Amino acid sequence: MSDNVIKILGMELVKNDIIRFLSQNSITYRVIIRIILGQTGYHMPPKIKIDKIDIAIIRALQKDARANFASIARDCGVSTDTISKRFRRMKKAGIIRGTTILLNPKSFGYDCVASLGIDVSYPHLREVIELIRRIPEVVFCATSMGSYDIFCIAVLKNVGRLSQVKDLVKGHPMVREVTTSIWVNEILLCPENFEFEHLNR
Amino acid sequence: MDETDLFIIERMTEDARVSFRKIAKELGVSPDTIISRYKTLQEKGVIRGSTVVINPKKIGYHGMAVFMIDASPTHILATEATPTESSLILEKLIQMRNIILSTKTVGDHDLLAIGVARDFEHLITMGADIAKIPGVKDLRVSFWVEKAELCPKYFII
Repeated sequence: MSDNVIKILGMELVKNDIIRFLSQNSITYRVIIRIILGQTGYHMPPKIKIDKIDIAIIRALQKDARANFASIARDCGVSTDTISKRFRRMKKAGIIRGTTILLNPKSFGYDCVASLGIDVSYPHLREVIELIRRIPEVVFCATSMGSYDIFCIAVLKNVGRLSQVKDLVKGHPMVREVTTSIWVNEILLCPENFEFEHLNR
Repeated sequence: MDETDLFIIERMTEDARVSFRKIAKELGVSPDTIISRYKTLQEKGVIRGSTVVINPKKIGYHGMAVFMIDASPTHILATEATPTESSLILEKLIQMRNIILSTKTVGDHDLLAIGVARDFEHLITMGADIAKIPGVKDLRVSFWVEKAELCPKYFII
């Protein structure tokens, strides 16, 4: 099949003909064009195979993002060049988003980390999300299923401010309940628990 | 902390592997200054470490879940030295695969853990594994898929 021919519902059609036929400028047609021509913005991520070396790189960088590529190379028995090539490849494929430092919020005067579970009247979910998005201290927010409708994490100056934020969210007419949990000092991040080994098959 | 420290922090938050020489050049100071500043920031505990940020979706983890755990009361008068039930649960939690954050909490529940799940079956298995930890009285879960509404570029958890 040539590039200009696509198969829809078992029919082989020429792309240009469809565009001519559907370019009636109606919104529905435009959507159809986008869908059949694959311009929905959705595309499959490039599938790259992860092997032992890739996993070794990730594992080393999880512990220390400044880890020396030469020493990772030595452990794997390959060249330093291979390691930096693999690192770039994983970055390009989007598996690795980047590297960053872990900061202590307390050093910046933020003494309170807390999570908020919010129950809302579900049809009005978006309105509540818009309110939450405007709260600068909320660093993470996801619409979830299960115990809560919205789950947020906030980093705040103190518990007093947490109370203010809670009242603010609770003030929204579509919010049914807000439950807060203050995270106690020792927040344990363990990204090394991430399993990759199943990918190396 | 001064401007130089903040600049180092800013640059390294974006890219922890950035060369100190490059930062030094941008600030017009010597690389040694940057190295010593970095060391001081580490010693003071401002910078706790560095890590690589993975995109879970790209490696087959389609969901994230937060587990909220209640510990059963021990009925033992705890002193400073005796480990509490929730501390014991926490120790077990951080050893569990695919649990990427865990903490004790004050509020509705005793502990909280965030994990990544490949699919529903995996999520349910994780929940069942947490419920099996001795001392866990109750477990509630919320999960989400796809992208979050609000998420920093480098969301570690």
